[in-house]
Amino acid sequence: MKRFAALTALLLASSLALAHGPTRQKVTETVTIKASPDAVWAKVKDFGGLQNWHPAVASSSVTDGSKEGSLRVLTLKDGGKVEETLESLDEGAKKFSYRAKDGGALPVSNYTSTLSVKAGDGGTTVVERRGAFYRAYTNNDPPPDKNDEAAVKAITGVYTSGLANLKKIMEQ
Amino acid sequence: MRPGLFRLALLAACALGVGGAAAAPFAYVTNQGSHDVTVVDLADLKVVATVPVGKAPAGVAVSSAARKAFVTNPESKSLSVIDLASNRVVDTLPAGDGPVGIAAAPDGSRVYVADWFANRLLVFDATSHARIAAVPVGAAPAGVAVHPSGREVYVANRDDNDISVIDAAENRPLARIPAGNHPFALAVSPDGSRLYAVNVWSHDVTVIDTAARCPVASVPVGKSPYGAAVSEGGDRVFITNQHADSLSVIDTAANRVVATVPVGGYPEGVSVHGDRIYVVNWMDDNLMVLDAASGRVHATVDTGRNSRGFGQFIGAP
Repeated sequence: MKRFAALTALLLASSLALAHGPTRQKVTETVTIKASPDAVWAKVKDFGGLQNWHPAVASSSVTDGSKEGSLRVLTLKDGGKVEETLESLDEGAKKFSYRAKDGGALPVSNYTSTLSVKAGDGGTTVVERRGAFYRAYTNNDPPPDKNDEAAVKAITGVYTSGLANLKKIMEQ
Repeated sequence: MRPGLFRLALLAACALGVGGAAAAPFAYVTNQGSHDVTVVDLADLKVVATVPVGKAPAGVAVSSAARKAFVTNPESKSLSVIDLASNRVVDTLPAGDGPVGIAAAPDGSRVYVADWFANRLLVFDATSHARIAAVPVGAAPAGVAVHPSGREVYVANRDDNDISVIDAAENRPLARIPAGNHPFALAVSPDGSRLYAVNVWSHDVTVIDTAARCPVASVPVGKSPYGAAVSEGGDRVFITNQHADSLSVIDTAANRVVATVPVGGYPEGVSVHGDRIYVVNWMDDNLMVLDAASGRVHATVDTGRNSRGFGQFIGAP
């Protein structure tokens, strides 16, 4: 009976871990950079090179470069890890998308993200980050550090700090 | 009057009534980020109302027969009932632990709600709004569809990778049919012979023979398909692909994709009315109108924030 209860608890826990909450969140951030789209794209398109422009990333390893299906493991400067898989990369459209099943160091789950580079006005470039994700705690009544607000705040922070640093580097 | 003529006169009156009801449809788009429903007049593509509902509305079932739109609010665990004539919320009911997918019976008598966290299908009387039954289904029930006869209800059990078949007269489970990986949305053909299950993780659509209760084909579509609608003639199925920002068009005779049309960002809800396809773009917060024949984008209409329109979202009072 005790074993049955333990098994039931285990099954319940695993099914809860699989389900995600029903409310998907999103974040869109853009920055305008005084540089050409080709130069900006060259800087950001390497799936294994996020440490070259994102200030929170210390290093990264990548399984298959910038090929579809490639898995990168980011090590953040605070020691946290994030694992992401490249879903698509379109050289012509200057755009790539990746996904993470769980957020790792980020308080999100089922996270997908797109980075695109487009020509802006007067020879500038507009870089857009778009993210779609669920909160880390995927059931009802999440704790404050794993709720929708915490998830949106974290991803917004990732995008704004990265884009601000990219602008700084490119305009130097 | 001869009986034959009388019957003819009755038929003509019925046809007139149906034609009148279908002439001026509206789209009811759930906005999960702004906690409201955008009502779009499809005759002139203007927003005619923004209706506040519960928290984080996702699913929608518009029933012209019941003259109501039913909306699930997963975060407030409730069901909002909107009167199609006044575009006002006339009732709000408790609806389990996490209501998401929803569908109405074709005759407008019942509303079926998938209770995501409790693994059951809730059955409501669409007139009195009384809860009639709670039927056990599989894990993480998502999309719901009703057979045109009203006799069977289908529920996509996302985390069990199968479909529950429910007897609508008895409100009990009849069978489970295997689908692909992570089935989310469901759609039934107008003649009721085929059920289409949209599999988010295997990027395909399972075609099910409803009489035999067996899968007969698996059709690869775009990345992370999330919504489905069948054309009025039953010859095409339209699938929204969330991670490809596109719409796959399936030829139902051949069970293969014959066209892939670019749409907006993270398309989810899709409904068909006449020769138009209506797609809800979650990332872009709009309703996109396409010509069913050419796939050409006819117009876009701005909606609220994080629009989903998960379900059959078109109807008329």
